[in-house]
Amino acid sequence: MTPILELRGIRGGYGTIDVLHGVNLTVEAGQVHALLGPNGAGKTTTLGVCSGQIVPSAGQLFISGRDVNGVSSDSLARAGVCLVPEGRGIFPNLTVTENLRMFTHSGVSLADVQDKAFTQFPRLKERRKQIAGTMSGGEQQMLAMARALAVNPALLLLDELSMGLAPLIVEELYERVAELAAQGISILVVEQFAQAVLGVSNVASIMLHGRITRTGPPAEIAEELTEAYLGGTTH
Amino acid sequence: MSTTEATEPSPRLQEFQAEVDSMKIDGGKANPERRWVILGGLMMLVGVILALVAWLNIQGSKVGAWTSDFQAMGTFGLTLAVVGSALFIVMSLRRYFRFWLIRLIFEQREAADRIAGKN
Repeated sequence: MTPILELRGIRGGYGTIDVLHGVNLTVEAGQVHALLGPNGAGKTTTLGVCSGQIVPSAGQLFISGRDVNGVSSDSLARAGVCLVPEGRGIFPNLTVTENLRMFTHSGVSLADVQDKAFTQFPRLKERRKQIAGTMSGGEQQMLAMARALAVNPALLLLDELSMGLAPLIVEELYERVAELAAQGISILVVEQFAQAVLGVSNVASIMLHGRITRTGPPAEIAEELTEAYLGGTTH
Repeated sequence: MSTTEATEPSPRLQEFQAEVDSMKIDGGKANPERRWVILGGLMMLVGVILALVAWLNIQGSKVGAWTSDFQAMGTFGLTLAVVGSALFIVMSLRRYFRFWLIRLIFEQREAADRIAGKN
């Protein structure tokens, strides 16, 4: 089957500074692909390219087999490419229900959005009248993921889901990610800390200095990860 | 975890495929001002060279039929240099302000997070 996402020799970054130096990455449909690497490796920039927010200076971005270089991020979002950014990407000064209402822009009714959100994350139902910014980090992350589910994504891009969260919460969130994958949603998840994500992923890649240095089964990648982070491998 | 080994794409995936196929793509490039900045710089350089060559040829010579050619060349060179400079400055500023705006948005988000007690 055609990969849902493919990056070929992607170079890009911010202005004249290239962060990515020839990234090759393939996400097959229905897969959970973990992209791991230390801080500053270019993981978030890669997600920026995949979601159309950063236009690559060289290379090709394929979505479902079509070269979509230069496509606007809103077109990709409408089609079903959904990014949950690092730092959650919710409206902190609105209540949970108001946040969910904001997610109805794609034409989904509030009742449907709430139904999906509260089924996946029952805790949000208890907090529906609470200001989102006053909830715990884990609950905010759940809300961010609820937004992603509201638009019925085909490809979900998750950036540092575990950032600043307790291990138990992270585990719970990744259980949800596994459930989403079981429903057929393809997921590219970026993480600095691999422990939780490797348990739910089918394939993992290590990214260092703007390049993918290794792609393979999660078990193999887990073994090589420490060495990679400490600067051992660059093949 | 087991891989989803579907041979037939799911209905959602087929729908996604159709939406991606129907997208209008303008093939936009990163750093769109770069081409114009380079063009402006080149125009400036060529304009100055033309004006300089014209001035050196007219310098100290008597007025003749051919001097008007150099006058035209000099005027064209100066015009090219002025237009090139304007293009260079406008596009450089546009690029600068684009990144300044991105930075501003980022800082505002950071501030909003701090107020909300996220960090």
